[in-house]
Amino acid sequence: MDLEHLLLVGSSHRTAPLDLLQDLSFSPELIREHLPGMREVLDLDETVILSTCNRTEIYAAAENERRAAGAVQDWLLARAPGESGISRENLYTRFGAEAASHLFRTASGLESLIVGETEIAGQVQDALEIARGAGTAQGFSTRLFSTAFRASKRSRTETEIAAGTTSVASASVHLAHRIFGDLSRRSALMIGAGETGRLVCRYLAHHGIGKLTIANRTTHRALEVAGEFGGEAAGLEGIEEILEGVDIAVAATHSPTPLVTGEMIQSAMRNRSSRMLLLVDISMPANIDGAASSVDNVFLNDMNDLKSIVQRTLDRRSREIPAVERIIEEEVACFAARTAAMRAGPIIKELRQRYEDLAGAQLEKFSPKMSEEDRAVAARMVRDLTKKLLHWPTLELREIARDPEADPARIEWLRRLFGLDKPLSGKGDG
Amino acid sequence: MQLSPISWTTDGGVPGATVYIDPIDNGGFSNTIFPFLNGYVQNQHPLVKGSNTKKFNMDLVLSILRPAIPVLYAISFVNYLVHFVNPRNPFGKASTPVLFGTAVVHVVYCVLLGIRFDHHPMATVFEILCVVAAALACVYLLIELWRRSRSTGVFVVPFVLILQIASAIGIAPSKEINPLLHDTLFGIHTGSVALSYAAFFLCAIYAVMLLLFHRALRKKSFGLLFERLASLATLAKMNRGSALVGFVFLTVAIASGSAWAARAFEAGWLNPKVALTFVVWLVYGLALFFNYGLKWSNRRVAIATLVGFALLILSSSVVNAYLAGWHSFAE
Repeated sequence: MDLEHLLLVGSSHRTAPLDLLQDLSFSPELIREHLPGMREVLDLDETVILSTCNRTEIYAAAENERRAAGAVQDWLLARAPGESGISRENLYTRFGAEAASHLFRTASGLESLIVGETEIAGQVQDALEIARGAGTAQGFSTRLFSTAFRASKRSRTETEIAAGTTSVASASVHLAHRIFGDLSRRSALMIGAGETGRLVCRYLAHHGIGKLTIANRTTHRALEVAGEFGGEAAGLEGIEEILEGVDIAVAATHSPTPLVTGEMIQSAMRNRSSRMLLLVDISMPANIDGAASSVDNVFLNDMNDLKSIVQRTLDRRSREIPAVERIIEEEVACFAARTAAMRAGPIIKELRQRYEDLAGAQLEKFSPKMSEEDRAVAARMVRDLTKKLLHWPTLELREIARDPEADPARIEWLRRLFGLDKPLSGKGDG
Repeated sequence: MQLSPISWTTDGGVPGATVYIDPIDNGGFSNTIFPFLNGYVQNQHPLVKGSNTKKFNMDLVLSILRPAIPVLYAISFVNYLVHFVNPRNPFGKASTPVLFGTAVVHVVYCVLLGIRFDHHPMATVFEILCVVAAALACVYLLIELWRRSRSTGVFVVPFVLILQIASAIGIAPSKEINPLLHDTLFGIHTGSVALSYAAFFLCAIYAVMLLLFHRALRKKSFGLLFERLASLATLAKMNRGSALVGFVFLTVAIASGSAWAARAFEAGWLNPKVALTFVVWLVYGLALFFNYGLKWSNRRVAIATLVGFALLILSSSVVNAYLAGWHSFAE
């Protein structure tokens, strides 16, 4: 299968609002269910469906890719509920190298809502695995997606496209990491056990925080989060005492009044020698008194500071886009060359078979006149000679296959030259 | 340095090339290279005759290492720079092994210099620069491997490079050497001094970085330094660790220097430089005591170590320049 037979039909956050996009989304179970029938009905050779929160894309290979693209579009729109406002205008279609390039960009995070996010690489891998399980992804799709994974891996290792933090919660922990380095011997206090608090706890646990305490207005909620991340639970009244012993304190609550006052900080710092204390306030409104920032060895950061860290990450990732695009260009070219070279596969196989058959026939013919030992030597000689004779024609065939502008008549000419269009028993076969 | 040209011609009488060789090691170079040229050289130059083969081989090695070591440090600096800009770059990841290899070669070079010059290589300013550069590279590697943080190498290796270039330009055997320089105790003293100066220099670099990091956190300036430097806690540990290493070696240097000087100089050994060195020792000692004993903040310790380093510079430059006593051993 050639690259030119590849097609992509899809819709993403760039072409449709998220509520419309939901009408096109597929669960993994639904994809498994649809894939075999879809390939049959739409006359596709291979197909893979990638469906995430921000995109639904169908990659397919078909003999007539233009006609197949129209059929895939109709099929996709027919899956949306009747009242859905999604239309053909929300879809995009790509062919050949452009489709491959889009897949590589997607796997590398360039098409993501947050540029450089890495979760998409796993989702692309899952999409291929589902299609392979359903039997709709074979050699071509496997090679295409494998190259996409390689492009994604190269992008992450050779550039900084995936470096840094992109959420306020992860930025809080990043800040702690930049101040304290290894967090395994540090302790943290999480004030608030809501969604943001839980997310911060997840990042802290991921960075191996030594000790984690979750303080919340309702203790049962604190206990729940503490249980999830192996921490301890406490009520809000214990904050002042806990502050004396921790290195990091993050507040993420909706309390209308500050839960951590300047006096609490000053009192806590008096009892902790000169140990540094990082305070992060991601509450709305602020829950840590701004006066804390003037206390020696205390570093107070609020939502705006964290947003500036996130923005810097996004800016840095944007600067890496050209480097990632270069990698993608290289990988697309490499995939195209390898796919083209495989076009020569059948004729090379045919050529080898023809020569081996001829050699076998000749050996058979002369074997009665040879001893057992001579026959073995002659067989080896004929085999080696066949390999040597076919070396240059094989290279030439691969070269012709790789060249997109090569005249297809050259391959036909080579077939005639080596007598592949004639039966083995024809004149000259000896 | 005055270089002497030697010309030769090939067997057929065609002019060959001219080599310029250091008069100190001219015979060595010739005796080593000429057999290699194997008959292509008319070995008639007066400088070539009557030389000691054993010494000359070492001269060849030294003449190769002299320019090679700065080149290796330059490569190492580029490694660290690449690593600082993009920690994922494989060229940058080679920074530690390259510096380690260079430091090993540098130490061997110092030992060979000592053997070749037949005294501890601390007689002239160029020899001192060479030994201090090697000590700086070694202490830095020690701290880097201890803290597993190579992000500060980009600020340290350039200084090693500059010191070594300066040394390579001017290094030559001294005409007159104080015979006391052959003393083993003096070797311990000078080696300890070099290591302590290197450690304090490193300590000052970490102190500056720590203060910059501290300032960036206060000013909420989350730029390249904030992202690339070692963490604040790591910088503090590096600052204290290098201060401790320097303090220990300075203690050894003062003890061995005092013992040696008491034996060598009957008239007494206290001069402004020695007095100021005691003050430096005291400042670093107090900084460490206040940090470990009284739990001073990282920032205060960093400032104290910078004060100590300023006094160190004063003792080794201003005092040397204007109050030069007997604390020099060669002409």
